[in-house]
Amino acid sequence: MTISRLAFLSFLTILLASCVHVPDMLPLDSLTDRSVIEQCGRPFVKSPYRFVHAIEAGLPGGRTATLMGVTVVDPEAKSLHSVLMTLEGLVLFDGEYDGTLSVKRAVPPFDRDSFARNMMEDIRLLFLAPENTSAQAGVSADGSVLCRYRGKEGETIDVTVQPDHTWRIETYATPFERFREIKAGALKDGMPGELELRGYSAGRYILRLKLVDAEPVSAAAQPAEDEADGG
Amino acid sequence: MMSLKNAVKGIFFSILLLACFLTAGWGESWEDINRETAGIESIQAEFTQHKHLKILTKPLVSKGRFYFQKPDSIRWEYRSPVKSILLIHRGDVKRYTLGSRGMVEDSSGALSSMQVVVQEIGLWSQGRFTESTHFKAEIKGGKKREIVLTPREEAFAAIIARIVITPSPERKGVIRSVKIVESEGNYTVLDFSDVRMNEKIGEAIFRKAG
Repeated sequence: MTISRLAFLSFLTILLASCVHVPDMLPLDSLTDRSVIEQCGRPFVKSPYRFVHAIEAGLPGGRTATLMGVTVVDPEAKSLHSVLMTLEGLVLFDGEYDGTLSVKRAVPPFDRDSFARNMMEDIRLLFLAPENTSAQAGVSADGSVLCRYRGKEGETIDVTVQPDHTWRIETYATPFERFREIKAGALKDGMPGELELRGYSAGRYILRLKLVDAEPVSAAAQPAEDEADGG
Repeated sequence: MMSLKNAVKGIFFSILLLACFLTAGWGESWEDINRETAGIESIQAEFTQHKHLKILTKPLVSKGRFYFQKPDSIRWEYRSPVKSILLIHRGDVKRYTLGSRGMVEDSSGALSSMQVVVQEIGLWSQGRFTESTHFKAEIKGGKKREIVLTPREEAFAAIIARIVITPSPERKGVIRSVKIVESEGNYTVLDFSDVRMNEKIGEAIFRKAG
């Protein structure tokens, strides 16, 4: 490599690094500031839950498509079950993840393996706490609490809970290689009425989830047998 | 080449058309249906859609209004839980959905499916239900009559197992429900109410989302 090319790369690195926003944070101590750090758990589901969302997908070229999504999340079992359907109710995708991904139904173009994997990653990031619970934590001047986790694949997961209790989650390999960004808002009883997920790695896309229904899942609330009749 | 997803969407709306043609009255045979569909010019009705899924403890309910004008104009409008309008008029298909940018055209609209819809409308408007290339239709039952549609093609059979159309026992010529069965425990029921036939519907209803 020539010196001029090396110099250019060094300059580029410095330039890019200067663009990355690194918030000024007051470090938090994992023992004495435990209650503050626990705020970072606010975005994640604590017990099995079922959600119904209207999902507006923003696709390249400014196109949008709207679907309905049903998701059952079990944080203890670390399992996810997701169904995507058209507004008319036709199921396009039905998949589960409990350590292993299984796709029960997938209509083209939702039948690609990469779609199922990426979708489960999206859902996991939206609802389940990072598996590695030890975090570096800090609090910013505006009172936002930031926790930085190391993900399974070595990626960084930043969870920021703002003073109004809304939150932001970002994942990235390096500051120059972002994977996903989530913003939660319109809180009602602590539950986000709106979630926005931006994906950067598997093609750029935006998912805007509007909450239609949410309910805890208990053994008593399992689908009734007569409901299972296809008639 | 039409994608399977779009084709399925097209068929879904074709089913709705079939259901509404049947609201005009039916007999015990296809000949009766052919005869009675001849007088239909327009239909409008409220609908409630119950989506049953194994993953749900209670069905997901959507509500809206439906308009049809002969020969092939349709407005299928959801009011809740998501406001969305599908317009089919003079060979043009558009869907508008209320999202973060207001009421905008939705690219999941069934543009390609129009081929299927037109094909089906062409048959049904003449009462030729049994000539559908996508579904095989049968009239079943005695007192409790039903029309059962089963896909002719394997690819569609993987998506929709069958469709059952049940007439209203109270009001002659009005259907009670349309049931679209995808798989065991996964089906959609459409109930129609306030069915009005041959009332004048302005053309703008089929052209404008507003």
